[in-house]
Amino acid sequence: MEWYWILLALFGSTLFLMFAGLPVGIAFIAVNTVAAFFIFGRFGDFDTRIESAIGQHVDNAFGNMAIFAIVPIPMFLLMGELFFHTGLAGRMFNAVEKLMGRVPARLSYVTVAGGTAFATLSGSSMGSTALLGTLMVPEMSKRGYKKGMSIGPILGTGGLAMLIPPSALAVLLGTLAELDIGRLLVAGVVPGLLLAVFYAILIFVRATLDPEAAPFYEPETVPVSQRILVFLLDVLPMVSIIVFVIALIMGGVATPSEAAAFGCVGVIALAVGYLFAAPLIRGDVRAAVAFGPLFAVAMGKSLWGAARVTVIALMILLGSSLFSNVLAASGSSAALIEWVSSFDVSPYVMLLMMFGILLLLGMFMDQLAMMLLTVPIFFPIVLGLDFGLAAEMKLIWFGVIMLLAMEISFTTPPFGLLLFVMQGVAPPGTRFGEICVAALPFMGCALLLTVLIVVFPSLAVWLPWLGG
Amino acid sequence: MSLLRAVDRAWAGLLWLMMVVAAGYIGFILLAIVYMTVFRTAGWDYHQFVFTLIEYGFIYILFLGSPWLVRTRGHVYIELLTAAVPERGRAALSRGIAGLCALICLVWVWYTFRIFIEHFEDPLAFDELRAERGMRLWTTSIAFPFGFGCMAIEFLRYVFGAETMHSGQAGVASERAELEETRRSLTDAG
Repeated sequence: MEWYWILLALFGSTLFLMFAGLPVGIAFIAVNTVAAFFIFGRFGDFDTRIESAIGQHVDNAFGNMAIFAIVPIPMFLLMGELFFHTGLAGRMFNAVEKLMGRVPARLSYVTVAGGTAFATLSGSSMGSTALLGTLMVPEMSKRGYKKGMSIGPILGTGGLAMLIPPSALAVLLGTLAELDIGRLLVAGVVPGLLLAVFYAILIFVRATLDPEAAPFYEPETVPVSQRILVFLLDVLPMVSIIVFVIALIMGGVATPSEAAAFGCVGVIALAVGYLFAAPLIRGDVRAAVAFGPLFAVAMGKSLWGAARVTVIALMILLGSSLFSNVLAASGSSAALIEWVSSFDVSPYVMLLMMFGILLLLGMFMDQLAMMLLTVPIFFPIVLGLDFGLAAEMKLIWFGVIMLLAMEISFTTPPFGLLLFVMQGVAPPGTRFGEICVAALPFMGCALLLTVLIVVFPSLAVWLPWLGG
Repeated sequence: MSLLRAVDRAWAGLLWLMMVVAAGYIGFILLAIVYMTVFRTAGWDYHQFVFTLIEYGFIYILFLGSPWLVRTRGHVYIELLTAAVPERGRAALSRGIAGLCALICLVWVWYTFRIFIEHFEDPLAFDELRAERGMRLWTTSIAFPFGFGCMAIEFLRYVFGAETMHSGQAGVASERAELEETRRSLTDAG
């Protein structure tokens, strides 16, 4: 059979099963089992062949799933859940609100700064959007902010969770694409922060052009001494944990797995400090005593939340564990890469096409499913294209571009997850179309950043290779 | 009828308990890494077996937690076709899809059970990467038929039970489940 028929059969049947409504992991398992039956189980009767196919799948699962390298997935998830459930992330958001001075469109800036911090700490795009939507949108509506200035920044910053470390999705991408996870995580720092700056610039421009979009109001005055205290107590410790985790990875002091685990320990220590030690020092014994049950509930919820997403990710990893082998053994991935290389077009056109496919898939499917389908094909293609970068650098660079595409797909209709989250928490009467329109300029910022990263790859690869 | 309901409740309790164990295992992984790192940094010996427990733990976590996610519609699946078909055909289509999932799981139960038996009967069946750590392969391969078996039962509930797997609302199922959980957390916090 020709390679393109094999590819068509593999992708066609997977997409068909997915869109029919089978769980993505199960759809992949089914297609891979059938494919492995034909490719790996060439000898013997039906029973032997199917046993050989499933045996191969199980063997691969041990190699792809039961590995130390994926420890950061549950650890980063746990860290984010702990930040969320112990109230530390919310505390930091409130601190940012107090620190923001008298500026036009103040609440939009609060949303960008606080939202970036919250999304980074909690690692949850959904949690960030839901919380900010609940807290900020009613307040901004009351002050006369237009939808673009209230809903837009929340949708934009929500997606930053997957770009700025600690990002469990980046770890999964690194695992699937066999990248250096530490470098991929660090590579997201500059683009993530830059994107937050773009959002702030966008707000500034819009507030300048249309002051009525975010009417000025006189905020409550906070003395400088209190501001310093708020910064030292409620911002610095939280940021320190993230910086600590990144520094451990960058400095090569700890593996991403160890850094992630110590990040969790750091969050637990902070929670103990804020919820137990601080009340005790103040002499509030009742609050200190209440810490035990409160912390137990927060820990339980955090472990549960981390387990839920870990199981989803592991199911996807199990499903995908044979996919790249099937593609390689059938010769279709090598043939596809050869075919793609035979075109006399610029590598950037190929990149644009891949980015377009990611955006298209992102309109209809979950980020994990997108990765599963595209990683085994896109990364080998990128490896074969000349972008003037060394091989490993090129893959990390493309990894960041892929994360950006997934970030954008969070807000693309009709299935953009954050659009639905926002619809659920926005004030009554907010139409779905209004939410989509509010998200557009912020998606534009992410697209602009993607273009900049393509033109200046060092934006993504400078930091991970800083130490050589 | 009440007996059937009691069995279903007990079964749901068991699946929930398995998910609790999966969540607890993540806590164990955290403690294990801290233990290993501290001991290594201090120059003390630590049990290599902990490393194996962490790595194999992912297989246990998957198969302990996955059946509960099937029950609570927590896995990633896209509702596009099921949202597009008319109300009358939707239930039949959804049951058919759940039946297909159950069939795939049952095939896996059968063949992975045979693999488990092979591993169990062979005293030399070790994972080649972790053979020196002395953990027999059957201790993890048993998780495959067990997990797929529990998932098959849950999919069969959607085939023959009153509930269907698909809601008829377009979107990604796991995300809806996550959204509900986030809302509950925010309400609790509020």
